[in-house]
Amino acid sequence: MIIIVDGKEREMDFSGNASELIRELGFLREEVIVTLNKKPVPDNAVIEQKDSKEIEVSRVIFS
Amino acid sequence: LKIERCSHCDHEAVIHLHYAGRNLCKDHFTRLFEKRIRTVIREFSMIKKGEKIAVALSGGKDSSALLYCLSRLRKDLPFDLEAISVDEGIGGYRKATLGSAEKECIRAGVEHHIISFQDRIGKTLDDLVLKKRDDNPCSICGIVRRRLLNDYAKEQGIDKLALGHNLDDIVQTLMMNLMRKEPSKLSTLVRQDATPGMVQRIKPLLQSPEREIAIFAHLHVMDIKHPRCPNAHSAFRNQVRKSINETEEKYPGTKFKMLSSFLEIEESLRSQYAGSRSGLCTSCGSPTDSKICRFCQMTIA
Repeated sequence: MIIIVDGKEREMDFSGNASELIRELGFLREEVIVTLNKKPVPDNAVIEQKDSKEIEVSRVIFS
Repeated sequence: LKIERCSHCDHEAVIHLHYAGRNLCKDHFTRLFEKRIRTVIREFSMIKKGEKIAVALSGGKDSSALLYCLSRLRKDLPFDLEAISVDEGIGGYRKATLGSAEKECIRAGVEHHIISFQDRIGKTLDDLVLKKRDDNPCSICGIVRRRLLNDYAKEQGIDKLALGHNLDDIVQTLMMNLMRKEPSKLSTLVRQDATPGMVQRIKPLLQSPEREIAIFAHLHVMDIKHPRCPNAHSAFRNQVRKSINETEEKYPGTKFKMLSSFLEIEESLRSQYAGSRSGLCTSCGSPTDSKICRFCQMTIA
């Protein structure tokens, strides 16, 4: 599936919840937010293959 | 995507609060977020009716969310609200954030003041960083920005400056000051009393986790997707942030507990270090603990 990570497309094989996706991408949960069609999703939301390209993982911008 | 329902209603959740074991929808999360800020303002007596408050507005998520929430709070607690942005002169970075700041001010219906390093001290941050290569750019920026904000707020008759410092900023600074053996700096971490020449600073987001602010800003469509400041590379803060975030992930609620523990000992720190800055800068007359204040050291010559 293709997931947008910090604005860049990334192809990966993934199934699981948002928390697991964050971990698989090598981020800490506190440092990113996950959105589906620009809407934030909770960490326990289960991501499916068909959600590809609509899922975006963005780093919380540290000031 | 399978999304759980809000713990309080039938709507889809937008956030799971690990420290509370609850899912919240947009409405319930917004209510919690705003209530937390209102509670902090009340418990710390941050804003009184009729006061003139200015948000130090960078255009990032924290100060934008703060401006939004304070503008809504005015419906229940009448006070004057304005925003001050500082153009430090950081090539390729600040212009975009100033544009976002302007948009947020229009949305909140507040006056927006922009001051610049160039206009006030005749140098940009980029100039100062080139000249002071041994100093951390964030440190130079912080010292000069704080002084310019304070001076401008005084000129404008502002009673209090509202800063977007969030829970993460505060617990990181707490740890850093402990690790550097600088306990005196902790006495003003959360509360700063009004002192001659200094506009009181308030931190209404002190109980708001950074990630929740990002989600709030996202939900309320704030234009906060900016590149990271090119000068932001404090290795020490990054290390402390990572360590606290790892602990929070493993033991949810750690940041709240750190703040809560600090607040229990804050009063004794404040008594112990009250008036520790007893001297005045020989150059500008501002309170300082050395002969010449850091601002003058940075900007003169």
